[in-house]
Amino acid sequence: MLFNSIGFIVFLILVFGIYHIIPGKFRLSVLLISGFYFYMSWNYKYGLLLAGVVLLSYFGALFIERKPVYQRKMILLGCIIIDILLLFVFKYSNMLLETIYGVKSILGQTGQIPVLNIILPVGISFYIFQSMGYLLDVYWNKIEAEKDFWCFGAFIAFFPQLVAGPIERSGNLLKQMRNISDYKLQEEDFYTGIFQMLFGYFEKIVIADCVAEVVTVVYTEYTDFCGAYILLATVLFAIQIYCDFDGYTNIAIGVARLFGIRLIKNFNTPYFSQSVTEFWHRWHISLSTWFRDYVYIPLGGNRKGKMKKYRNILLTFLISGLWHGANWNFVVWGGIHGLYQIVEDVLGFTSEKRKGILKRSIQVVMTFLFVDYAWLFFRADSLTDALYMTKRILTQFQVRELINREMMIQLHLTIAEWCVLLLAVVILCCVDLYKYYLDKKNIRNNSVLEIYELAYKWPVSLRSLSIIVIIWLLVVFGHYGPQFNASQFIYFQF
Amino acid sequence: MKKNNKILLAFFIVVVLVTVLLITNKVFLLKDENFYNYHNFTRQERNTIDILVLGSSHSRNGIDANRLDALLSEQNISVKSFNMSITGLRFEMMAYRLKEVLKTQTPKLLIVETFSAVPIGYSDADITRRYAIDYMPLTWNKLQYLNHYIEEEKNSYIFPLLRYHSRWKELTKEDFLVLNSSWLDSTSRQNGLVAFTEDVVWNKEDDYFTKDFSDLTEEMPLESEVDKALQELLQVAKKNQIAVLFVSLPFKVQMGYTSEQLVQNNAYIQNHYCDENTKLLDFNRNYEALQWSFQDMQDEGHMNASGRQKIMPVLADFIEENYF
Repeated sequence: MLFNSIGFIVFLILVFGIYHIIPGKFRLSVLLISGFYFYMSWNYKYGLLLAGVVLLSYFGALFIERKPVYQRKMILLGCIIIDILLLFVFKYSNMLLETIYGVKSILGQTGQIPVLNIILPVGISFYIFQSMGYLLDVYWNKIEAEKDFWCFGAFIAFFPQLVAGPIERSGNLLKQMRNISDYKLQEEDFYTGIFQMLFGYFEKIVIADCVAEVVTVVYTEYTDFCGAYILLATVLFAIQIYCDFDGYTNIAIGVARLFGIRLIKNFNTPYFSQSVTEFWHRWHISLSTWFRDYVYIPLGGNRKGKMKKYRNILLTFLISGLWHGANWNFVVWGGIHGLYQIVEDVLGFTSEKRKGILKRSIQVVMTFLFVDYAWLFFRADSLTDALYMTKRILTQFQVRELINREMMIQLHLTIAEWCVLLLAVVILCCVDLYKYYLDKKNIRNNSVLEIYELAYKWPVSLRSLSIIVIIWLLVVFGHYGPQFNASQFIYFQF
Repeated sequence: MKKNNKILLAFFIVVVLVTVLLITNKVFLLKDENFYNYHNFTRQERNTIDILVLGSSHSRNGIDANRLDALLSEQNISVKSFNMSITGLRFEMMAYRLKEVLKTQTPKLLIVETFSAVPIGYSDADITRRYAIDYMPLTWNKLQYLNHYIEEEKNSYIFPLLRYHSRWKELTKEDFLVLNSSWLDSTSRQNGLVAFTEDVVWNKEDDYFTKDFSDLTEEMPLESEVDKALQELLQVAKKNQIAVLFVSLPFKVQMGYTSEQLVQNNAYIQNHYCDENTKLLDFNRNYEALQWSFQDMQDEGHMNASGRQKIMPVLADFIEENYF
């Protein structure tokens, strides 16, 4: 059940209605059941896996809390190993087999690669990481183990963030779940949630899915395109993946708000970063802070000298790359980001120093280009493809081809569609610029005002009209329906 | 804001939004001859249609409802015919369409063009279904049809804007004419006939129509799904006391389905479904009797004005002899 499907809209309206009508004490059960229904709509068998993870973490945490110190560690390790094994079996077993056979073929041994017929459950990495984070928090005595099974189940299986995050911390989401029975729907939450959802849909179906058509053509038939087109497609992919993932996140956060839950911020205008290090403070924040707290810091962080710090950065980003997908491309992508940050640290290149606007703008553009080049490895089907495309960009750029009408036609978009896309990207940039400005203002004023909350301050008539107009624009200019090969959110596969 | 006001506001937003989307839906629908055909039908006075023609583009081009009325009138039979044939209409859609027609009309004779027996695999089921369904109102009958026949993208059949929304870049003035209540009066489409250009002649010498299938007795059963749909159509007709006339119009080949195959399918229909009130008129059996040639066709599948001139009197005589 994709967020951009009629089925989800109907499901949401029903769950929303039931949730706010029934007595507060039943809300957790509604959230838990709806979460399982939502997840099992992909494949009913997934329900068993999710139930297994919920039960393992629930009882694991209770045991960790009650047992003496030496047993706590064993229980934690046992739970973490089972979680990682689940991830490995469902996500990485085929990658391992391919690698073994790849090495064998290099050594001159041939043979057919056996492919295990395992379907990757959507969002497995997200809820397994969320439950591992919870177990570690209980082990480190950051929080108490949750005794209420419904509350814990709803925390892991909360449907808005179940399949692609944000990866929630028990300190935030679990706490809110405990108090959910007293919640009364606030007008502010309702309108903020609706506007955030609508903006998410705008990012996904107007921008990301439109751009995806061009990117797919170029990345599939890359040998037919010169370097300029590959670069164009890579820049467009940067927009696609941002709009796809930020769009999903905005829908998730907006939906959660309708239920009185505030999920953590996952993106904070990442393409306005002045360094790659800053980029990772603004991109997929819930994952990067997870890796910081549960991998980088336990490895020693930056406390044991420069060399160990760099080793820890590199290791963290290699693992982060692997988390993204069972393919060496992702590992290389993670490695590139790790190296970027090491180089930045060696050169003393940070964004904290005060600089003029021109210098800052140049840094923003340079950072974007570095990040964008890494996206090439993320999007390409294999390492060989990524290297071939890099070579093509460097040796056969042919910028003139960009105005070749026949080549442009091959990109599947009409001039009118390009115009709408351009306008949509301009709107996105304006909104992000305002978010950036608001963020700075929030830091100065020590506040947490979100751009979507501003809409609540508008007069009722303007709010209502805006909702109608935005929905109409989405219906007309969105990319969906039978003539469009609907793509699911990119991060669902992780 | 008070609770009641909030509910009223939500209701108001939903009503306005649905209205806006319904208007958009109307504008964005494809304005082809199938669209006009249906809307022309909706303009007919209640209970005035006596003969209803259902079939594919073959009968849309081959059966002139106005001419049929005139020919029958010469024989002192005063009737009104309406040709509701549309591109690629198959039997399964005919039953659904007939049920819709029966809500406002009480035809006494149903002319069913048998090219609609074409096996499902020969045509693009999705496109032809859309021609038959997208312009029709959302009724219980439509939902039942969708439930029975459509497996994928049901939502876009219920609310066609989901399919046609990407037409924003190709909208013309004609698309917006539907917002004016008198829009259909300005069209010249009468009694449902939407013929191709009158003087088009098949620009290819072809001796196919020298063939004679008169002695072809072998029958070819209809595809089981098609057969079931035909049975449903006949049941609806029988229940409403409508006589049925199967007509097979001359053609050579269309979508890989030849007239020779149709003659064999017709034999099956003749042997299994024809009786006192249900008859078959097969123009593909003997081309020589009609003096048919490639000059009566505008392409391999469709006849032209000259062909229509030859067909209509024979059809009118057959109807006069057997039904009125």
